[in-house]
Amino acid sequence: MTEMITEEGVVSKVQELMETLDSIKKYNAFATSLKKFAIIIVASMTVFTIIMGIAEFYDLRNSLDNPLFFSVSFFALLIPIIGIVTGVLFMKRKVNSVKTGEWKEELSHGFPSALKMLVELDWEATFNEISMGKISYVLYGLMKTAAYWVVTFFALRLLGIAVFLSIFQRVEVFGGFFWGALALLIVLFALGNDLLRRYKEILSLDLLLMELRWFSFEFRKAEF
Amino acid sequence: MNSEKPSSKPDLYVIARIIKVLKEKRRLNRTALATSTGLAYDKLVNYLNWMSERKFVEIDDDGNVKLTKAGTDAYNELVQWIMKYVGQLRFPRLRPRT
Repeated sequence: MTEMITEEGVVSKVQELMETLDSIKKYNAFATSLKKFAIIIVASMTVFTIIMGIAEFYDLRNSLDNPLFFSVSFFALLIPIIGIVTGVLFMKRKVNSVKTGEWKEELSHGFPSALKMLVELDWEATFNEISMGKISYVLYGLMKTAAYWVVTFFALRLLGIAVFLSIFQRVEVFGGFFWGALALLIVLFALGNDLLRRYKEILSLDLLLMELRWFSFEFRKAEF
Repeated sequence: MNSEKPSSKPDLYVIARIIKVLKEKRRLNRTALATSTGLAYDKLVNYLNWMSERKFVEIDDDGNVKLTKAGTDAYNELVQWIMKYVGQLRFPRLRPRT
């Protein structure tokens, strides 16, 4: 009876391991799709910058009674927002399309199958996947935060200009640094919990990597 | 783990499968054992020879295979060993967010 419980214990632990490795596959989806995500974000930011550059070139902002500046800025700002939404949805689709649970049928055969999975697991590839997934997850989080910051910065600046124009009939009261710092505070406030959770996940992945390295070392050096 | 030459380095998974079936069915002839384990007959015979050399199984004159105490102990040791290490692993709850 105890043997059966131990066998079930092994199967249950291997199931946990495989579920964790499924999650790792999802983290790794960030690695394979990060380049495309970056292209979407950078392209939308570039288009936005070009449009704003043209607006600056034609000195639209200093034509105080010119509503064209606000219309152009508003619609231009929609471009990076659409870029971020598209990028995040693209990433979500990639992460959700990762196939998981393909091992379940095999594991249903009990201890021998659990043993087979442990023996056949490519540990080095798994460690690489964890490392790559972790780095990509961090980069994705940073890139998304930076994109939010850029959009918030320009939105605040636009709002600031509109408010000061209507009240003081002046364009510039605060410099870019002020709006940049304010945008950063707002983004950190809005994404604070998300960033904290990401940080904790990274720590968990580090711990997992250490535990799996230890286990694979013990498992591979064993003489059965 | 080369399953073609069990005498040099056996596939642990195959041995575990054979022992598990023998633990459940007590005694089986080789053909039935090959069917139960899903192994080709020749491959099974190679494994049985290897296991017989180490006294894990006994094969009588009629070709019936029986698990010995040494075989049961070896299997249990393997299970215990794996559990000792795999049981120490702590898996975090991971939910990648986009």
